[in-house]
Amino acid sequence: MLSIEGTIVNSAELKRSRIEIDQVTGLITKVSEPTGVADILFKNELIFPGFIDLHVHAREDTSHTQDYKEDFTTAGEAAINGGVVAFAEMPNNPIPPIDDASYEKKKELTKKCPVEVVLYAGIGPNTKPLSFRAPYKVFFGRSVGDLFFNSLPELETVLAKYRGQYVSFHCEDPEILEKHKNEPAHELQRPPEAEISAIDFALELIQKYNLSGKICHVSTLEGLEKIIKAKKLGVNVTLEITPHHLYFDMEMLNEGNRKIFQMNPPLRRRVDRLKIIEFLKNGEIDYLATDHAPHTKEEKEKGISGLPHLDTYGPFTTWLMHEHNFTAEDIARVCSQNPANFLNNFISGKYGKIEEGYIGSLTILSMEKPIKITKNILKTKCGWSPFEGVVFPGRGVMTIIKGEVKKDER
Amino acid sequence: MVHILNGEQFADENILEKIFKRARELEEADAEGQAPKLLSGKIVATVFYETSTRTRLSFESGALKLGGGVISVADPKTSSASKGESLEDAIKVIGGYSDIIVLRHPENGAAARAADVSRVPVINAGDGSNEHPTQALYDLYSIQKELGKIDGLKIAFMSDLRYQRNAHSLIPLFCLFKNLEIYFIGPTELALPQVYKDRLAAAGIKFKELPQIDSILPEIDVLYVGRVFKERFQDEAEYEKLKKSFFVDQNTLARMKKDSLILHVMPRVFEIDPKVDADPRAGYFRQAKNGLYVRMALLLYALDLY
Repeated sequence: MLSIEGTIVNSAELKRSRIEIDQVTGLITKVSEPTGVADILFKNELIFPGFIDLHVHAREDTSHTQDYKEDFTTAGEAAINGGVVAFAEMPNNPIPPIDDASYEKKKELTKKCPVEVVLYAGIGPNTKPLSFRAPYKVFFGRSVGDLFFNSLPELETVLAKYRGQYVSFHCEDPEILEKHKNEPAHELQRPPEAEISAIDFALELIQKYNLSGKICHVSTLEGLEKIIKAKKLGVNVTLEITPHHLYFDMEMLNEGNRKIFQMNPPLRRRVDRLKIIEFLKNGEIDYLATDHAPHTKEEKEKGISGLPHLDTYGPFTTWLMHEHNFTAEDIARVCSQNPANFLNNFISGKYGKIEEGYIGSLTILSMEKPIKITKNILKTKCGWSPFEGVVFPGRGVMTIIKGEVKKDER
Repeated sequence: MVHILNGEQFADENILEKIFKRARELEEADAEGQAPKLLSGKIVATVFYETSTRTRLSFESGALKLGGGVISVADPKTSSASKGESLEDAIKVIGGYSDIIVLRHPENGAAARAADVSRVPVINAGDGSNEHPTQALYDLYSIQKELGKIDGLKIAFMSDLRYQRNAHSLIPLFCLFKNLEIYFIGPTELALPQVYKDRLAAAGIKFKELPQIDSILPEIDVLYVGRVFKERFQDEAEYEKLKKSFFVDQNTLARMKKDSLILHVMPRVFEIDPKVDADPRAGYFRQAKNGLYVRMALLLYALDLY
């Protein structure tokens, strides 16, 4: 049994309490008034229900051709480093998990991961649903990998078979991307209207096929407003935002950093970014999900899209609290509770709260220990971070996975 | 027609929204090279009894972009004022040659005096240390455009608040935003005149006066830097001391929030290290550009052309 005392953050309250976790079952057995005596005593640190990242590319698959940049072990270590206790992993692999057999084979690989992993299954031109419950990911247009469609009608024909399933959408309209493919800069090749148009279409499909929809990495204010409006009308849709669309914008791009900051969808305008931060704070956006994409620096120079994020997930949340006035409860909502409500559909236990019966995985942050992000603190195999040089106002001081202390930097 | 004389007359959310919306539209149209020629056939007189570069040129550029003509008194020494003509007489005459007058004058209250006798709208482009409403409007417009909002922000002014006229015009505008927190940084000799502090207090706006910026740097969203006028110090040593504490450089930046904004009344002399310019937070050149579009919107507003 592991006992911890400190300030716990559930999504509606901040309270000094005592937590007991059974290390055999990995479950929280008791949350009670503090006694002043525990295995681990915290002072002003914040104890969150473990952070969950719903959008990770760990890159490893049964082909093992991309293990050079990340695998389930290193992605898990980076997650623990960043205070992430579980993640959902994307299917755009060289051998994508698209049917029962390929999904099960890939799932075997996740067993060595030190944090819990739920795999998305891919939806491609000739796929159909698995025989068991799993989250699905659909890419509209070409991004990284071969799971994409050339036209929206082609996509709809396939998606019709997924009625009632959990489907996450990468929204960029392939026809609009095709029209802009010869533009001189990445952000011009993938213009806002590609996302906005695809969001319209995704919302239509979600309603038509009764899907539990999730829109990934929304980057445009207009797209975001469409989703929020749909939610208010009762459409079954949630949405993710990435740290990079919250922290960086196209106005900071220059010839020196343009390749590093290439991702899909691309960075947008500063004023949109600041509005999106407000939407996240106000509860309109459901999840802080990273789109962790661990490509090597050499690959970035050649023009591949995506940024690694797992190591910096926790420190990034301290920036939201310190500079954008997020409360700890706001962070618990978008980093723990909401993502848990999604992930819990596909696992046996429950994440998302510090309460008896929930999984005993916790993220502990200190707002009193700033951290400068440098290469040597990273665990991701790709070995770099878009935040190198940035000083975040706080850091993760401990990560507990099912009652086991996996990181301790008190 | 509407005279544009002070900040107070814009202390109305509907008017502000209308002008800001118009400025945005004009900026977008101008980006396409298609500013509407709404001043076609009209003549804008820019009458400057005090030197100016940005203010006069932005009004003239705006007038020309809108298809208007421009006549100008750019140097008071070449004007009839040097022969002893009164402001009132000059305005009556110039009003006969033009459809709108943009006036800068060294005396407080000059714009209102001009408006009293003018048959065409008068735009106050700065009168003494009194008001500079067109700058105040584009200051506010820049904050809205850069940070996406105004209410709820923490704004610090680091300047000569006794004489800085755009700050005086900003006070009634700030009173519209109930959750602002404002800091006035500087020595007591250059403090904001009491009448403006009373206005803020009456509106329930939180503000504080501090001698130094250091303690609040990590908190603020906007740092508004002004000029410190050497001629207003009796003691050279005092001026030199103050000059240092008003200096913004990369060390200042390092202590500010990432998503904050630095504005400057312009022209910059020593107050901001040019090395700061490359930082995305350095908004003062974008602010100066915004002045063009807000002034275009104001020319149209004064002439009821909207």
